[in-house]
Amino acid sequence: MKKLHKLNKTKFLLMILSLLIWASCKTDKINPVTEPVKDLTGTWKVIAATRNGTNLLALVDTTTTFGKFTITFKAGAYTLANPLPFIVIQNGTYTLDNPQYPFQINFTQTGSTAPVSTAFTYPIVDGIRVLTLVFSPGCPQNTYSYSLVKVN
Amino acid sequence: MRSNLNIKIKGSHIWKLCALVGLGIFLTCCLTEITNVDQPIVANAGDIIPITTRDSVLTNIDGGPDVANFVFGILMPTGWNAAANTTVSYTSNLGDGNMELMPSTTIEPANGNNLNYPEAMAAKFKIGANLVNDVQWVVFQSVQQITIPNGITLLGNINIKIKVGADGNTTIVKPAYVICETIDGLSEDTYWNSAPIYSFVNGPRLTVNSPTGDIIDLCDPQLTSFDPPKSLQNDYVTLSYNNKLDTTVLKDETNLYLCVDSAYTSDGKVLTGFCNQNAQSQLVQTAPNSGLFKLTFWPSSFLGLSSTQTLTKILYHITDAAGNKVGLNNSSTAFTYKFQCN
Repeated sequence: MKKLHKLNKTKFLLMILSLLIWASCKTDKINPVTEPVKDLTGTWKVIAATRNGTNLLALVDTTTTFGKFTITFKAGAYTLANPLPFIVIQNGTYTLDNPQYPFQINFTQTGSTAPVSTAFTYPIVDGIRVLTLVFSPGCPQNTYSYSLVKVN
Repeated sequence: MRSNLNIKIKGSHIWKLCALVGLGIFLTCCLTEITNVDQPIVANAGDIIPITTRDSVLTNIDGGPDVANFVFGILMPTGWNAAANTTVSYTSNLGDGNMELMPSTTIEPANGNNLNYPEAMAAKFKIGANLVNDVQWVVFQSVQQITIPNGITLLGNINIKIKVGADGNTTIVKPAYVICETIDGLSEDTYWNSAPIYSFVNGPRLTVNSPTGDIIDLCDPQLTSFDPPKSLQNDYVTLSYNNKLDTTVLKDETNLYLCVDSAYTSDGKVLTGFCNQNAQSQLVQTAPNSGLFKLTFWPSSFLGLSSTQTLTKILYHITDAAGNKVGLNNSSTAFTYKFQCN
């Protein structure tokens, strides 16, 4: 008789425990993570440059060329300092094809109506945003790649 | 008590067979060789020339026969547009047939970088025996798949008819040829007798003459050359000068400059006065005593062109600090470089 009673008590406690555990579980709503809008604002300088796979920085005096070239993005406009062969040679305006998931930058030089588009990648490398642009400023079979980081 | 020590693994025979067959699936061809190349060494632009490669494949296939397409790659000047100007057929002791352009979507199986056949050949064989990268690999495959049995010697000829000099220039080139099959591609694996599974050969020097156009020498060392070989005023171009080929007083100088005598624009103007000796025009030797000097410059900026001017060509010399000049073929005639993409 005693044995039976003990069993019932155990069962009862187990049941209460289960109820308590079930009641304590909260269903978490999974909030969708919003992809931040890509912001290019700032002044960028070249840290790597290739032409058809060949390292351009090894072929030129970087202090007078790539060391001085910058592109500044601000409020929908871009400005170039110390120009080099590039997608555009004159200042103008720019847009991204999709601010959250952009694949292309569209540059429109001042005085021109036709935008020039180029694909770009924007990964974080060693904690720093690297903007890499691939383009052909001359013959279409010549491919250039410039990788830039923010100056400030 | 029953002993557990003599339990036979059920199906051990099947196990062993599966292992062998599994191994067999990866063991394929073959001792592959282009044994001879029959190619003209001179032609005129516009001619359709015949080229024949004699080929031999000694097959050693486990778990065969293999069913594959023959693959044939050729290296020709970009300006000849070989893809549109070549027909390829083959004869062999396994049958005759035609070859067609390999689809650009077909991935070469051995490169591991998802390259198609022309890209894989360019990565592996570069520009063959040429010095100027104005050549391209064009790849063909047999229209039909071939059943390749084990233990035979497959002998055949690949017959090419190519229209040369489509760009109207006099061109000197060393073509190259590759054969393989679509199962192994350009694999370096040698399963039997250290036998290669593909074959690559350089053909003899071919000169195609044209009464008009430019002279494009892709395989001889040049006194000066431009990289990229085809560029426009907004490309970053590298001029190279090789003093080992210089027979003038400049050959022992190391203080050298680019002197552009004249720059021609599309509106018919001729600009002059680009012979300043400064850091922007100075050629730099690549390494002590290499004899190779380079200058990388942006033509549009070097010549001070406006955005409305289109550069068509420049005439230039290489000069030393004293003003001595060397030009075309070590003469006083200026070198010419045309700014064009085709």
